[in-house]
Amino acid sequence: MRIDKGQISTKKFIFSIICYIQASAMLTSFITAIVYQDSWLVILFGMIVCVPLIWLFNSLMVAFPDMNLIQILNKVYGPVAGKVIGAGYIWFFLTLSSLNLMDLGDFTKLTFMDEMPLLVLALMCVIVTSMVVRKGIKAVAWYSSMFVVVAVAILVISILLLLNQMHYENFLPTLHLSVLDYVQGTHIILTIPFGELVAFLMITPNVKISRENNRKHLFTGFIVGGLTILFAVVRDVAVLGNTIDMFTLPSLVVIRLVRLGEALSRMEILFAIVLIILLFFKIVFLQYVTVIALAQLFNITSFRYLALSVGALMVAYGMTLYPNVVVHAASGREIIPFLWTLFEILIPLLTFIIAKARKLPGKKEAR
Amino acid sequence: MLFEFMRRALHHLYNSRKTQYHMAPDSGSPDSGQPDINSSADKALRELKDLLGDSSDLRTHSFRFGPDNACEGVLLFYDGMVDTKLITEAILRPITAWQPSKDQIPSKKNLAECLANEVLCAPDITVVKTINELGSGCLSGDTVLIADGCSAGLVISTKGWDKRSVTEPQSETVVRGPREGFTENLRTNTALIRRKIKNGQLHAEMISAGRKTRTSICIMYIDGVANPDVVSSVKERIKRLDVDSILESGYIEQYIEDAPFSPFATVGYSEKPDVIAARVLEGRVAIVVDGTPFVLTAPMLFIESFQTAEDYYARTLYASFMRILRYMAYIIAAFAPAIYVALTSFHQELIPTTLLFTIAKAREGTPFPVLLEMLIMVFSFEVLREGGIRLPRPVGQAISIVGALVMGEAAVSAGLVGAAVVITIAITAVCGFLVPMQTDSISLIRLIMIFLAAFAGFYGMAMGVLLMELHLSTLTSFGVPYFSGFAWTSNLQDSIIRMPLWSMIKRPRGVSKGDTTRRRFFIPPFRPYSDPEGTDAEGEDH
Amino acid sequence: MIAKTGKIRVLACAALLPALMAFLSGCWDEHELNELFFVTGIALDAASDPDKIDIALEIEQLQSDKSNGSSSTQTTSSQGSDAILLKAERETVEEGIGEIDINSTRRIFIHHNQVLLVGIELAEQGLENNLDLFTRNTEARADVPLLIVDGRADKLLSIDVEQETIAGVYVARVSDRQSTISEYYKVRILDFISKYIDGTTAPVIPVIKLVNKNNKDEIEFSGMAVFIGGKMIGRLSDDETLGYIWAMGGVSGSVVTARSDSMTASLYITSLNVNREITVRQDGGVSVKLAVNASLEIKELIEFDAIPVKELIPILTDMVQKAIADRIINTFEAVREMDADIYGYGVDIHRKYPNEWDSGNMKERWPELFSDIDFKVSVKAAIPTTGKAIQSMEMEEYNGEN
Repeated sequence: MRIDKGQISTKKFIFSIICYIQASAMLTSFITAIVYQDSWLVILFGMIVCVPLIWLFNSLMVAFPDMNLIQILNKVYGPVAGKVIGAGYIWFFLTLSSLNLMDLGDFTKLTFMDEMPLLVLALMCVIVTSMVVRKGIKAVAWYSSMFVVVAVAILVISILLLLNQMHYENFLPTLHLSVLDYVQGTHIILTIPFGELVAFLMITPNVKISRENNRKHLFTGFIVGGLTILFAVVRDVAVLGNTIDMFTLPSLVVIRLVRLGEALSRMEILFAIVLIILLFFKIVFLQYVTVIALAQLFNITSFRYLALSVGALMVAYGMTLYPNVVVHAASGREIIPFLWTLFEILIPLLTFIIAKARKLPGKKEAR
Repeated sequence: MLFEFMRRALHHLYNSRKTQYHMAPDSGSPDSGQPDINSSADKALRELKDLLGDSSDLRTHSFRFGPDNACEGVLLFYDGMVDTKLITEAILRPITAWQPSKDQIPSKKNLAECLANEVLCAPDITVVKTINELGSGCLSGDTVLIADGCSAGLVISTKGWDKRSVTEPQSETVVRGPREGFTENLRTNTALIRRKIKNGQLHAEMISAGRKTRTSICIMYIDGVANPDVVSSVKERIKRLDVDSILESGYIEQYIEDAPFSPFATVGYSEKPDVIAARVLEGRVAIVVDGTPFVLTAPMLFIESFQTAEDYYARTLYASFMRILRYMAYIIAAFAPAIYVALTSFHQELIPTTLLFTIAKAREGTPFPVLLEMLIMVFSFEVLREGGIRLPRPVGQAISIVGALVMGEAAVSAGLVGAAVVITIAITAVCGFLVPMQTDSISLIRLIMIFLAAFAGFYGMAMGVLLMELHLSTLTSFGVPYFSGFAWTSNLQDSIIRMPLWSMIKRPRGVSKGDTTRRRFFIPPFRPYSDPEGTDAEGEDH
Repeated sequence: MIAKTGKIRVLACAALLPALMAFLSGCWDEHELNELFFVTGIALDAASDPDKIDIALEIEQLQSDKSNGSSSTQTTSSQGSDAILLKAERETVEEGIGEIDINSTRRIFIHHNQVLLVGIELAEQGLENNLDLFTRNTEARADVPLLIVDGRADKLLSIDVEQETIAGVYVARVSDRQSTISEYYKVRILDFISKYIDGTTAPVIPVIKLVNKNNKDEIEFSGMAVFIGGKMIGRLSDDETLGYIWAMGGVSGSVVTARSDSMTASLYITSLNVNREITVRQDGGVSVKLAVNASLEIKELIEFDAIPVKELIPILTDMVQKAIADRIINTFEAVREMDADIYGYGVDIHRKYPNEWDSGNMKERWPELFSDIDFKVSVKAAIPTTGKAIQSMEMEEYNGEN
């Protein structure tokens, strides 16, 4: 049973993935606090380590081309266990979307509007995202191509404007920290930007993927998105050097430093644009995924009426989740990677193994 | 409950209107089974006069004709709508001179046909059988001939009334290009289009709409190029119209458009035949409405508002430059006041320091918050613009210039508004004139953005822009997505810049279906002077 | 289309909108321009109470032009400074700003702060505790130049300068101009903090002071202050500053005066680059070799009458090379006595030889290692042109030899 009948082309799919990963470029402070100037290395490691994970997602998408994640769980684990795990995933997606919504609110408060109540910011965002989610996947994915172009353009512009302030010695010494730091950093990178791609398993039925060259879509998106984050971090490290671990938003500080004469100074607007549009897309996508998962689990055919309710839930949930930003940051470094590993790596792996063991999907599923 | 209501209101506003016209009987259509013409001419005349009412400009002329002046005939026409010379020459003279020999006299039944085929000298004669057709023919400016004893009547086309000659259109002036514009006469307009497209595949279909006005509407499209779904959709929507009057093409536009509450127009219009012809050649449908020089085209995409006719008559580089300028002007016109409000109220840190001090100095002593200042200036600009249109021509120019100068200057000197605000509004206003087809969207978006910016600065503006993009992404014009020209999959040669004409091989995708090739080969123009032997640039050796 | 009950609902919605309009005046975070005080300079000084510091904010005074018409004649500001100075004496900078904010007619807006001045007394007491605000607060920008004032910082902010409207903007602009010569003339808060975090590097900050010329107070840049860990421990004179700048490299626009016997030549450095070669010696010490590459232009020759034209360039080159090397070495010796690694050699070793750095425990021993550095400078100067004149007035006549 397909809930949302919209179809998106593979190009939009790739752009959605890129946009989704780029949105995590704001969250690099999680790893810069641990690995300082080797952050870019850790991202590179993370990308390499993530390749098998992407392959796993891809295999799941190919093996069950017309079923989204909840349906796969249902089929693989049976009705009862599948529904329980599905409910777990609904919680997971809801948490993800709430966290991103709070991130958008917090970062906007931090950079531009510190007197505005978080609730108002979150509400404004949720109203818009709910209206987008109601229109289905076509509207959700429509934004991605534009946003990717804008984000990449701003990244290139900022690198060009900061060339005179980059010192390559800021990257040295390399590989000089303890191995545990690198492992922790890689683990964070694996789970937070890249592992969250598991949400794309929810829109498998909406994407026109043929069976032949199916691998390149997910991988293209993943590589381009990862490269964007890599370049952003490289730029940050090159400019800030050893002060990078002091700031919650290194990208903001870096863009503030742009100063080519009096006219080309104060370019934070670039940062603001990137922040708002990328995080908006991620929130929209995650809200959509939550709504679809809810509708799938409870067998509701019209998902449009759930959108606003889920949005309200996101706001309420997000505002009560963490008491303050420090706890949020600490949790992001220590607790969240492990919790996310369960949902992003372990359960999909288990699902895949069981599916192959039970020889699912059967012959009649193979179109 | 309020939430539910707001949800429904938003739902109502943002969904495309489902056109649920209920079918109404179309009175006045000739197929609606009205009574036949009475054979007796007197009775028929009386019936017709009942149908048409007894107006002073309805003229009747009874005459006798035929062998020994045995037959009676009545001519009816509306004075002022017919060419009386034509009546004399084409109808009366031949008919009174008709003296058939004994065996050529037709029977009473065939009298009308015989007159039509053999006697009368007019090229456009229709034999009709119902009173209603006679009535509508008379109302259209044709002459009606009723012969006694014959139950058929003749409608002879003798339209001739005072009409405006073909002049330069006032709403679209060009520096280079044809200066013909449509007039209020349907036939002149269709002829102007047909003169541009001398192709048998150009179809023109007449529909009449409006119960009281019975306006003639002509739908023109090129068979084989236009999207048949769009054509049938347009025809259906117009046929389903149940309305009293259609006075202007704007009525039709508002009745058939896809999203009436959207700030963006989905049906285009123009006053120039070359523009309409170009659009028809790309696969659109032209809707010519009698009584107005503005011809509609459907579907209309966003990209068309930035394409003027002159773009294609100018050369590539300059045309591309003007195209880019137009896009920038649109963005400035829609967003500049909001950006100013957001920057000076919320994000003062983004303004360079010296500029900020200048603006702040100018704002010292002004009593209103920026939002109010901006609204006052927007309001006064709109007032000036509207006033400038309505005032009689000799006074209008002076008033708008003096008004602008005096109001701006005096307001700043009195300290009511800051100079920066006046400048912003002036630039906004001027930029708005570059994209005339999007004026309504610019005004609405400008206002909404100002309010959003005053509420939440750039964040509010960002949310507003995202919402607008959502609306635009789901907007379709007769089934074609509104942003078709910009997607990766369509031909991008004509979107942001205007690539050379020889590179536009295909017609725009989505708009046309069928024969999509404009030009067969991608050949840059042949340069006669680049001779490898190295002759003169002027080619003196040739 | 709309049901009868729906009509009332639409009306209710429309009636809500004016209520919403009330939101618009008085939104959070909305500040009209004439509700803000734009801070253009912050001055921190030591207060008479040792626990407290004096905080002074220089505010651009925009109300001096009473006639604000656009077509009125250009009103020059009245004589006297356009700035107002607001002061407070508190324990922390944030408290001070808060106190000033409460007692002013408008909100204090730090985002356009041009310069951060610290009085010399406070610098000697230690500076690191007072800078936390400037990295944490989003209103304060980290690229604001930091300067030390020889004297009281707030007094300097209050004087009336001729070249600009207010002192804060003046200092920032001069600092900007100097940074076009070399980026090391201008020390931003971020640079200071970066060097402070290094641990082994001694940050330097330019010094300005008030001098009295012709009965008018003027601001003058005089050298740099050397810090170790946030406390000021010494100063560099103007000449020594030049030596530091040259040793860091990336200079364009500085002036060298070379003297030899009675000859004086002034040359303009169009570009000067330094290649650092830092190696760890066998005995654990450090050896630094600077290879300086300079390209110069002759600007002025004085008393060069005894030199034939042919030998002008080689002699000048020698003189210049010696002059540059001398100055760099002078500065290094002065700094070596202070045990302050202003050049960042320690960080270089940490970057290039991280293992020796850790194993040899060099970070703690750095002060003694630094005073033990084997320092060598080699200068290569190139003088491509001689300017508009080939020979100066006093030189030997050109008698057709070449």
